[in-house]
Amino acid sequence: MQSQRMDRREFLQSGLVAASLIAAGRLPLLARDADGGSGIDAGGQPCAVKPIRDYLPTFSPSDTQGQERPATLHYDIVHWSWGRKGRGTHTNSVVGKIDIACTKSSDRIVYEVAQSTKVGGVDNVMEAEIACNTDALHSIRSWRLKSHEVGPDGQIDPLSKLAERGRCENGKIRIESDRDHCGRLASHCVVTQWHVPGLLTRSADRSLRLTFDLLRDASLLKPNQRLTYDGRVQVPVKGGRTLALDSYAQTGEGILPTHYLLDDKRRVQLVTCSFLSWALQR
Amino acid sequence: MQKPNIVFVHVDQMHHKAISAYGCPHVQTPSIDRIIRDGTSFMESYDAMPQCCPARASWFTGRMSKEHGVVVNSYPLRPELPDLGQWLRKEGYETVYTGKWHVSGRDVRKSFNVLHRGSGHGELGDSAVARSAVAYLRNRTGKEPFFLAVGFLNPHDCCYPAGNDGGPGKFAFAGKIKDKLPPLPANFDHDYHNTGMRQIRNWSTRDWRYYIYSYYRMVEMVDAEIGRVYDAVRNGPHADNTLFVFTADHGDGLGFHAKVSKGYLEEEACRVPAVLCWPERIAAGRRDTEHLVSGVDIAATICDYAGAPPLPKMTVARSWRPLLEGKSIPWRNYIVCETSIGGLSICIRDKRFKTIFYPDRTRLFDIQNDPLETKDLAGDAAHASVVKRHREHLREYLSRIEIYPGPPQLTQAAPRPRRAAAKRPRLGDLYTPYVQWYQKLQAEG
Repeated sequence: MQSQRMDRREFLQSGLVAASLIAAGRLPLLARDADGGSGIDAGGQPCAVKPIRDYLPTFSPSDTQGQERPATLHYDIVHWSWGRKGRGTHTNSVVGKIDIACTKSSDRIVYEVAQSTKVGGVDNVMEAEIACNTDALHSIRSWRLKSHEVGPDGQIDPLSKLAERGRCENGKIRIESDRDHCGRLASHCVVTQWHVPGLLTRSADRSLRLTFDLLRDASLLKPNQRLTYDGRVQVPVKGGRTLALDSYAQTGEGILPTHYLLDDKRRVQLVTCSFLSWALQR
Repeated sequence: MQKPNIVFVHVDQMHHKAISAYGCPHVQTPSIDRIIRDGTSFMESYDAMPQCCPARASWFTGRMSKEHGVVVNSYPLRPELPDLGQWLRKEGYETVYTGKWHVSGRDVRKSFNVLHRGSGHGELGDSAVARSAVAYLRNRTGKEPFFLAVGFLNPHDCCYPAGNDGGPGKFAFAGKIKDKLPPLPANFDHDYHNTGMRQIRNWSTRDWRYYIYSYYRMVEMVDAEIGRVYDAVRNGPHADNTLFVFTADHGDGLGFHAKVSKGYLEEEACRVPAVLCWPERIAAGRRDTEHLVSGVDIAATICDYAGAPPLPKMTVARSWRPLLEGKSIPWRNYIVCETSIGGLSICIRDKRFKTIFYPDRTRLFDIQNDPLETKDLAGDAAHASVVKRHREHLREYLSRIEIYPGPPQLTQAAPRPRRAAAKRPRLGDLYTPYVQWYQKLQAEG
């Protein structure tokens, strides 16, 4: 094979052309994105775990010891906040927990949820029992929800007690208490945030493109949610290990982009939003 | 006549345009839209000062920031000033608070029964605050009228995702949702890399658009919580006898003029939504574009509806009640907004123009024809009379307010608290400059 030589004139000419293309942003591999890419996140960890990057070195991925799809999921709720070391620092702390149990019968699926979050010095406790349809999403059919606050003295504040019941039929949502009621209209299948980890465990696939409406806390309608595959990310965890997780991203009205990070057995190990994340414990 | 219940729902850092009912196509706010449909909106509504504590202190005392002493967040409220909680409690109201208070120097528990303290992050605390308000409305057994103030934090969470500590914001994700990112505002200053606020100079335009996208999602988050409280008011046992008030303490840059945050006197920071509703008492679906109103009027309005005497020495505050009842009354022809952040400035807004006075310069905008404040007319000879008129308004305003010189002990050298951040102004640092400037402006008259 005959080698080709470039003389000085050719070198200068081609260099000049390349320089002008770079300056015009027309060499794709060298030019900056037309919209500037991200100046804030440049060179950082995967943005999917950015809200819990200080928690990850203490996170040990949960293994269910052969139990492929456990009936109950236990998550810690992890909060992002400022660090105590002053300006420019941040930290993660566990502020609560969620237990999600799922039982199936021939005509319905029931989710039982217990959630506790410490906010403003008090424990905010929420318990829900949600009866769902047997469709692929386990769309909600009817539910009961109770919540209350527990003060630092361990006493339940009677004024904080809430009890609601609801149902969803053909997109019509009705939420009732003993004193009032309200309605919402959904345009897609309705699930709660507690449904999504199980949904992904059942149906995660790189071609996944789901659209649904979210009834957060069985109370707040967040329409037009989309859930899609968002790539495989390397996540540094406890012991200096790096874990490869598949990420799925949920976007939609009333939520900040939320990532679900699944291990190879399709267990949702981490859920990250912005200030709040979930980390699977067992 | 039975005194009405009053529910005062306020949010933190809400841009006045970030509401779908007002025409913003990038956000969906069905709950606020419903309140707007049910009530009367003041479209020319401003905060008294565009920062949390000063604006809130004005809501609850009916005084301007240079009167109540909260001239920036860390400065305490003058202890002798009563607040709405104390005032209405004396008038037989059960006064109840939940969520963000942030009136520095005043313990909310001395003025209100506190249901929930909320959190410094709306994503963590706003749901708990809404639930506490709804639970109170359902469970209360008292027969006396109530004044319930509900302080939501969002969309204030926008302050942190891109913080200098890295923040939790997923800006790198923006490339995956390019088609969903809102455009930059028409008055975006593309020279922000050189001339913009320090914290945003390294942002890309995509970062900006993701910031705006995230902001709208935070508005939607708090909108859902507002809807929960509004439902409990309107569908519950107190529906017919409850005045509902909704506003924000201040706005957010939201990319307008390539700005974020607040503290300055451009429209994005100092203009706020203000909606009141009460079935059969306040016109539904009405938008008042005629009257200039201020956050300092909130106290006067609530006292008026509660049948309480006005708070003492409300120098400029006026009740909106006559306007809401459709009465034709003489109304103010200008409004004032002032700040001590990033240097002193004070603005006079009349129906058409807004002048921002700084100690060393003046800017003038034709808000009616240039609502995005793109053309400074201060140097235009044709508009010299406007600036002159506004300067007269300014002097009149200064002659009406009771300029607070700071607490007596601060005239002596105050030691800097050991734990205070190095860059935070020492208590007392900010009183003298505005007192001297305001005296100088008065003397010029």
